[in-house]
Amino acid sequence: MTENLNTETEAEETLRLVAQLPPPQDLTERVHQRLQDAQAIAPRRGFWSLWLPAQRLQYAGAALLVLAIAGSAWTARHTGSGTAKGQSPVQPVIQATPQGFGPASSEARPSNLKPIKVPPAPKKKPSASKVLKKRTPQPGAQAASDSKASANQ
Amino acid sequence: MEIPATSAMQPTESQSQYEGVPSAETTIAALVDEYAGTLYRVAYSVLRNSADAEDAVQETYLRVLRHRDSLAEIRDARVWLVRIVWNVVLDRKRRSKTRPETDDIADLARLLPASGLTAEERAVSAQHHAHVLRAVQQLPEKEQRVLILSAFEELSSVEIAQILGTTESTVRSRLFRARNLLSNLLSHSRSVR
Repeated sequence: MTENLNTETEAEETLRLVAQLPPPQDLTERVHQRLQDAQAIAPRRGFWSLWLPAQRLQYAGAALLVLAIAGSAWTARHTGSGTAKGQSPVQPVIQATPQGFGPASSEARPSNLKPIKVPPAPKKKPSASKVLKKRTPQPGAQAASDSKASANQ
Repeated sequence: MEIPATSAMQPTESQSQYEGVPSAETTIAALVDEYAGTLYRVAYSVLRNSADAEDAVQETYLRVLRHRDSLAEIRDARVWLVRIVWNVVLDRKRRSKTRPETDDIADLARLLPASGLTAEERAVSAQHHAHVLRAVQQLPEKEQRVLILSAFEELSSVEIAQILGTTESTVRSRLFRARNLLSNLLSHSRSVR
């Protein structure tokens, strides 16, 4: 027990000696000087002087890069596609065949594809000889028609 | 919290910017004059390197300068400053964890005063101090901190509790445990030798 107490006291004596080691002589002067330097630097700092020249260059480079990207994006938007402003081109909806594979002759036609209506082609005018043929009845044909009419009566 | 107007903190007429009202800079200058030595010793007891300890003291006062607007709220400047330097020191210690401690201990043991001793006795004394410091190093961190701070005669257990951010009873129990562990370590190493 006594030995333990002695050991404790000895150990604490060592720590006390460490705690009592004198500080360097010019410590306070150096601390004062450091504080004065820090105070002298502080007021000189304006908004721009917070950045070192190298940092300023970095910021300028970054700003240029942002401007270039924004400019190119603007150009692409306004000169690229002919679509109306704010509208995106509509993608055709591909309808899946209801029963899997269709016959080879089947035609896949998108639902949004409307058939084009083609106006009927104008009739050709009949030639003069054909018109004449129609107008002048043939003698045999006239007789046959007459006999049919009398039979009906 | 308010800083008590200690003799060191009262500026001279030429120092004060406004009559009767000391500026923050004057107050800090007074704090440097009064507590720089104490802060250095606290820093040195942990870092065991004179340049590092001085750096820690300077950093402490730079932090004070940065927070000069809140100086008027500080009640006990000494404890407040020791707390700041303690945090600075622990931060530095954490960052330089890889540095070998053994050489520092041997150097420190040689630095400790041994007046009135012969050369041989000095060597034995340095060896003993180194042995004790190595044993302190082996203690758990919390106990080690309390033991180091308790070696400062100017710090009471209440103040140590304030510095470490704990209660006084915790400080006392840690100190008790630290002493027991230390004596066990030392007696064990003695029996081995």
